[in-house]
Amino acid sequence: MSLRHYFHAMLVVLLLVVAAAAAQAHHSFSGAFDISKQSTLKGVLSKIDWVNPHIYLYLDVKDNDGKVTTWALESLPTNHMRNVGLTRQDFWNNASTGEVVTVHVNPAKDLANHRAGWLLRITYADGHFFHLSGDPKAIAESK
Amino acid sequence: MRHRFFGLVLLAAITAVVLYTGGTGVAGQQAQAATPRMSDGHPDLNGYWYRRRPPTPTARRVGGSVILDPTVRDPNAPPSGNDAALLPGVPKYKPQFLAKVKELDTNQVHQDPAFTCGPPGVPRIGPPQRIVQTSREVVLLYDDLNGNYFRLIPTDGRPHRKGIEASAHGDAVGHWEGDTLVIDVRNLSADTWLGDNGLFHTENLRVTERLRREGNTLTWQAIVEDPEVLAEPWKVNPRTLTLRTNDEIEEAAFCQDRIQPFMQDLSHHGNTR
Repeated sequence: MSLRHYFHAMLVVLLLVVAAAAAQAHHSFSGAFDISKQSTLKGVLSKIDWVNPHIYLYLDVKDNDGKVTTWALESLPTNHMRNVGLTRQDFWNNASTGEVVTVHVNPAKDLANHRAGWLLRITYADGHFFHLSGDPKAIAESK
Repeated sequence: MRHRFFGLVLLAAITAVVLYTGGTGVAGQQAQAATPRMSDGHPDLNGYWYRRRPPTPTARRVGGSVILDPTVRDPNAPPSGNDAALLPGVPKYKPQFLAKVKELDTNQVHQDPAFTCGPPGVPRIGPPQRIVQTSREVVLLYDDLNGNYFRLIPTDGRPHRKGIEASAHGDAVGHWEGDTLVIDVRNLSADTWLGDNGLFHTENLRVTERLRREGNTLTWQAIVEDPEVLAEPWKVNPRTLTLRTNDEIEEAAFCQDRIQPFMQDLSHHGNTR
């Protein structure tokens, strides 16, 4: 009976709890988004709809040919944002001046018809970010 | 050694559960506080009652960044039991209706009015978040995911109203049984569900809610009767709420479901209040 053994046991339990939490979280949007995939996009926010049951951020993404495609990014309900002190303006930041942001998303299952994703993290030009869903350690830091 | 290790796993699991649920120490202390009373002697139910639903992941700030981490629980979160205890439970249907419940459950994405921002109805809307009480009536206010809803509960002996259309939250009258406010709800529209997973009901639904304040906690209970389809009255799992001071509910954001066009299958999550 040592402290080390107790920590090992605690680790096993924590891993189980984490796995259960992740499974529960993933269930919520698995009908629309592919939780097995993670995509990274860069673009400029063109609109934010502060609506329930989920807020939507619209991101204008320019491809190599200069063509702009608008992605619809779904995130958490408004009261979740309120509870953690995040406002619409916090998300908008400097979009009015063309700030390029990086987003990590679970892409839509039907990407051919819907440029959409479940927002995991949004990172701003100065490096600060809002991590909104999933295990923060599962995302590589963006610059 | 092996047995000892599994024993340690069990001990750690118990520790984790205690940590996760936050225990009941603070709630117990709050229940011991004196229950404020109105001038008519009834318990004062006024206030913003925190029901902690839906759960918000723990957030931490690092510089200008905000990290919502579902893998970490906030040790300072109000104690309201674990999330499983916040679920309403499941009514027992008569055997001939089980297939219908299953079919509706499978197609909830398309069949559930609340999935596309419709009113939740009673008892699905859950306990009130804000209460305004006078000597004649109690007003229940909801900042729901689907919108703002109100319910007016006369407590001065007025009977149920007649000649009004059935509605999602029905027509209610209340009376005091000791320190418990008992609310009788009728005239409920059959357009709502009792909860997630295809829990339909008929227009003969009748719900009895009980609200009881003890100190700074409020307990909400509901009994659901719909003898046409339910095999027995359904006792919804009670909920315990904590008084939240220096805060107020807000006007709900516009509700507009936009996920349906993206959906490739019928999997969905619950919308428990």
